[in-house]
Amino acid sequence: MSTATTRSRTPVRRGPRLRGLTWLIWRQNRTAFWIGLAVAAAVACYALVQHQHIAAAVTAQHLDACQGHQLSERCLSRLTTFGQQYQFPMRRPLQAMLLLPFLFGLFLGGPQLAQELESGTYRTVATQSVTRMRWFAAKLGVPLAMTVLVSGVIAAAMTWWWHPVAKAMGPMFPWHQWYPFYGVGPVVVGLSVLFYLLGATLGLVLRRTVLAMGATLAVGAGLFALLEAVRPRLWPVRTAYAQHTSEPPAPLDAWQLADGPLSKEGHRVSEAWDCYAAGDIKQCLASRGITGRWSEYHPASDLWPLQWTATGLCLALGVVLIALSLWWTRRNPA
Amino acid sequence: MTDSPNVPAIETVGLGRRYRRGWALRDTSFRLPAGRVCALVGPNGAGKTTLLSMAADLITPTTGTITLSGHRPGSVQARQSTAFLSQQKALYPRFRVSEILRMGRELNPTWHQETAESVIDAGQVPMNARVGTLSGGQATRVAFALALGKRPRLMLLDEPMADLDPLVRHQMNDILQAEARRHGSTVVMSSHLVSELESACDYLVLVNNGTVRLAGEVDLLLAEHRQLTGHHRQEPVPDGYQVIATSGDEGGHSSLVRTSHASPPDAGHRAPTLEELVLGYLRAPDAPALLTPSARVDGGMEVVAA
Repeated sequence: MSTATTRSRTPVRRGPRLRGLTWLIWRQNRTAFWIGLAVAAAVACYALVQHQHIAAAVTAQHLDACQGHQLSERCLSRLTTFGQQYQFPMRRPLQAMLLLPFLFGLFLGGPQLAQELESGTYRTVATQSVTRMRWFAAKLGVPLAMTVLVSGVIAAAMTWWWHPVAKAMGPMFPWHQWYPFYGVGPVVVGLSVLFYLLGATLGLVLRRTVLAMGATLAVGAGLFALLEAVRPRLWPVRTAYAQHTSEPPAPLDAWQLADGPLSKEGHRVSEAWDCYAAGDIKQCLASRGITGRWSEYHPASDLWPLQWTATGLCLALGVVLIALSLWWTRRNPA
Repeated sequence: MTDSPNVPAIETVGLGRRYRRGWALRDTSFRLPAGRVCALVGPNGAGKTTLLSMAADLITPTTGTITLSGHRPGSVQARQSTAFLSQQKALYPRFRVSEILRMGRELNPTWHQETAESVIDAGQVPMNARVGTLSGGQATRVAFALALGKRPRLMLLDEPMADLDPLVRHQMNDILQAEARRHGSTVVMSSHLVSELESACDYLVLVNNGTVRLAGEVDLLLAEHRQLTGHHRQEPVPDGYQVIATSGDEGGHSSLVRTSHASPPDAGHRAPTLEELVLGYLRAPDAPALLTPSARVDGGMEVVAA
């Protein structure tokens, strides 16, 4: 038999080298991986610099003192100027973050398995010594790890950039709108992972790259609409009741979901719309037995619980997709 | 005892595979002894690709079993010792040739870089060329290098040379023969070109209408048949002869017949060539199956004509 000497013409590189399937999957996706890493690094650097600028501006303009329910005229004008300088430039990037999960789904997930099935290259891999399940695990796992890394760095950077501005501006920069909600925090990673797995699974089932990408776009948009619809219910809603007021009894920076009039006995009653046109609103309301107001809302502190629940939901769906694709591969081996 | 000559390289028992459109292969039982170079012939759609794909664990049988040297396809032992080369020879087009070989090295513990490199070098294919820029012949050579670098005990080739020019085809055949001889590997090669297989193969498996019709050593199979030439269609066939197929026009007929006695009774009878034998059985899809003793599965349900 042969001796174990194996001559390699490629020069031996120093340092850590990828091995086996990890090398293969890295080599297949290296353009996408390098683009992802470069973008993540650029966003991270930009966010670090911006964070320094913003922190310095907050200190210089004494914006820490401009918090609370009643803002002075001076504070208001200073916050407006600060917002124009620092909040406006981050609106478009925060909106663009909605596209990030789609990028992972369409360009990393969609072609990942579909291209192999479409071109028949999976046969070449399937007849090497590694088992089909190990190849499948690497094919899902290596880009998945890359998705977590890249989206994690970008999410952390965006959060680092957004946070000092949101803190200084309070209710003037609502936290609960679709942006910045989908542009910061763990939900970015959760959505990216889910969309990557969605693209890969659709590619496995449809076996056509372009078809898989299109389906990922359509199903992904549907998932986003669904998530946006259930988002207020992802964490228990607070309810507040207050008498002797016509203002909703929720903090100014809260995410107000619903509010309405309250009777003297503390019951929710229907609105008396015509009273709002009356001269003395309070008197008119009182004559209808309305003395207070109730409110259902999420306080600003609910941002992270809402984010983590949404992330958990995405990851749970992702696990379902993994199970689905494993079942599919076992059922249809080729 | 994987390498024992007693364990057949391939054994199928009652093997069948059904697709949505019907059975591609049905109730197929045969053995291929180890160390043979076997031609797998049959018309298009006869089930050759289905048979090879089941051996390569690309599809699973609907009925029956297939084992490679006693191991299930897809088991670690079978995976490490089997190489499969399909018609498409699909390789990653953006990989360089050296990266395809690296893939072989990374994914196969039995990889032998020198074997693979010698196949590439013999065709003067540049190592740093991208696979997508290679000609059909060069790409096939790379696919061969990937398959041979694994040092397989069993090579499954599904018409891999169909798109090559005769010269390259010849070279590939030579490399294949040399590697198989050197390591005592078993080769199964499916092809339409019977004449090409004649020099290369010492074993024959003929598939038609979804099952094995002929299987065995080429010389034994040839010895069991005679080619009758020049006789008339109306003429009775001598006793002990069974006509498999007749071709030709009124002027001169030529019949392939099966016989149990070896000596030629008279002139006008001669041993058929492999091509005549194969063509005869392809013309007669309903001819009774013939398997030589080494190709029979004990306890199988093959009908073996006397």
